[in-house]
Amino acid sequence: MSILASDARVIDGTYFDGRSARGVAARLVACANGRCDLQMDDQQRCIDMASVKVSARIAHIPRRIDFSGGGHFETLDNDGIDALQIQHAQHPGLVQWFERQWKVALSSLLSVVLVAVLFFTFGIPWLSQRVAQVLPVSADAHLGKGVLEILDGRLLKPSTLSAERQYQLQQRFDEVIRNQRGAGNWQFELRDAPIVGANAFALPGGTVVMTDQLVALAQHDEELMTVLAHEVGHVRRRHGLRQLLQGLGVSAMAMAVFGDVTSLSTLTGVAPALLQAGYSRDMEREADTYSRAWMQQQGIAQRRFDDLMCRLAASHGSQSDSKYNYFASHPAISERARCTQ
Amino acid sequence: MSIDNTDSVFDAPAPVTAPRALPFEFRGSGSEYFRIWIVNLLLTIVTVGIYSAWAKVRRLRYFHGSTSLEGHAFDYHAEPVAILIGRLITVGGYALFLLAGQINPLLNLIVVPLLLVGLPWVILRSRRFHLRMTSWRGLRFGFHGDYKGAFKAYILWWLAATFTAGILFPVFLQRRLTYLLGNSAYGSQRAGYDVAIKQFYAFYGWFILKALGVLILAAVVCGALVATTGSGAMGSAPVSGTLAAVFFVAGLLVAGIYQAGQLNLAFGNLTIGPHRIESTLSGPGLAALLLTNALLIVITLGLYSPWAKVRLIRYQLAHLHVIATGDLGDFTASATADDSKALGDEISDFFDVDFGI
Repeated sequence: MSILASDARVIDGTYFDGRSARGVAARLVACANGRCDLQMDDQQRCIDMASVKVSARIAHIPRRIDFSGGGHFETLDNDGIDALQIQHAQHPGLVQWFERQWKVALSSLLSVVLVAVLFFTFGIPWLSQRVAQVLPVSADAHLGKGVLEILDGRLLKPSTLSAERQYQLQQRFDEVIRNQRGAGNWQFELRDAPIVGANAFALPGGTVVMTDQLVALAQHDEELMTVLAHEVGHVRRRHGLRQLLQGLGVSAMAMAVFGDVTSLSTLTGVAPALLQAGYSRDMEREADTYSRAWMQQQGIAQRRFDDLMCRLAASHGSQSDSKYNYFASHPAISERARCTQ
Repeated sequence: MSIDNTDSVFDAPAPVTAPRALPFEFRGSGSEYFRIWIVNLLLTIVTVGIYSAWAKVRRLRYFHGSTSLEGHAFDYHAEPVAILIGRLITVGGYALFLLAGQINPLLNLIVVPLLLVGLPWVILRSRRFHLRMTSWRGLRFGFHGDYKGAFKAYILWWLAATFTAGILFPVFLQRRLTYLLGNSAYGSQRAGYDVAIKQFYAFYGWFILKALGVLILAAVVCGALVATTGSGAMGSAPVSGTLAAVFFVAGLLVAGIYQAGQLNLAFGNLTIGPHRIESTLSGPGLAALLLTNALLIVITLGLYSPWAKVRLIRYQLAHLHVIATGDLGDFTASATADDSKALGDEISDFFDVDFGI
């Protein structure tokens, strides 16, 4: 072997002519002037290395050299091909160098984790907000359309409050939205909800629903107004649309990371659910902030919101109020309101 | 297969060789694929998804190149740019569809018939692209199915199966597999797939019985658990967690039985010229693998997924053999022109879903 100088390296492999599946044992010998000799049993071909296509190196898998006239040479001698490429001033790709270094792999891992954390905490909420700004306000209304009809058939019944009381509450709602300019079609709905209990919610586009049970729980109309302001905050900040957009972002990321382990598609659904709950809690905080700023502006005491929240928590029982409930859609009550008891 | 090779070399006419089982060898490893996976992931994130097309080619080349038959590996030839264009069209189309649906729900009504007409075309193109881009020993695979066949198999038989409350479902699957596999080719040699419908009914009958058995067993285990801990404990976290775990295991077992059975039914009946393929996956074996993979992925927060993928492929290939009669070198290239650059093939990467089996 010592007769062969380093610039005349021999690469053993197989030649296929591309017309039949029959391979021929072959060897590639580098020679001068950017040419190689392809030697087979009974023949020898002179190959111009500038005219061939060398496949990129990936781990241990066989390398192939495709010849311009058809046919290819296949070999497991990856190092030999690399040496040949360097000799002919062709550079092996950067990616294949990355993949061979454990150091690179581990730093990639750290970077991916870092980027993912940053992206999920800041990137997705920011992006959804930007996209929501671009979309017309009518998109919100379309999202909310039909939702109330569906709920009416199942969870909600017509309000049992007197017409006079309903009128009073409508006045309160009008007071809350009085200074809300240009944001959708405001609509106030009262419903009896024996299953849902004391609650209020906003549909994208501007429909705010309040249950009789919540009205009964309140000891002062200003308390109800703080909750209405909270719901108006959801609408104004376009939380419905943003939630939809964030959901899309999260599932796209989950697909990118785990997409090739198809049997786990159900399992990877858990992570998006966790993240969505996290975003939902952030939105509740945003709506709370909105409501508290509104109270400040209107000269309504902050304790009105606290009082109703605490009574609400007590009426719902405290089993769901855990600081460590990562699937919860709302933040813990101890974070949202100051309770006296 | 002859006992004494050295003597038979000199026998002038080559004797007709008896069928011999050739294994698919898989040389991939989790630690190798981990590095490919993580570099792919990082570059995909850094390039805001553009690299994903290159990543896909590297991933498929790694798995094809790690799989060999009779000492020669498979290869994958797709150009990343073609895949990138397909993906851009897909993402654009999907965004358009979502937006249109949000702004005017009536547009959704147009999309459904559009999908029904377009889906067979996408399936056909995707299948053709994937097979054409795959090679072994210098010959490309191919696909000869046409639009009419895809429409009949995927839309008409699917509708028939739906409207008969699933009674015709095994027929639908038989048509689907016959379309996908029977139209495949290696070089100029067309593959054969000829399985009677009653075999599909037998498979589904057995599958339903086995699935029911597994679910009844799971219910009994849960019942016993609740009985021993007292019904008051139903709401407690450890008990409800255990109940969920029992049903998760049962679900995976059913999935394993189904997947293994379907893969056996598909590949186990495939012939290529004088050769045929044998598939001997076992349902419980596959389920055990899916379960341990899932557990390890959860424990390692996803880090195990490259190893999981390698394990799954290795397991599936270990149960696949070519029963060769004669020389595998006898195949020749297809005479048809290579039109692998046609527009449809780029779009076919569309949903990036293998419409395979």
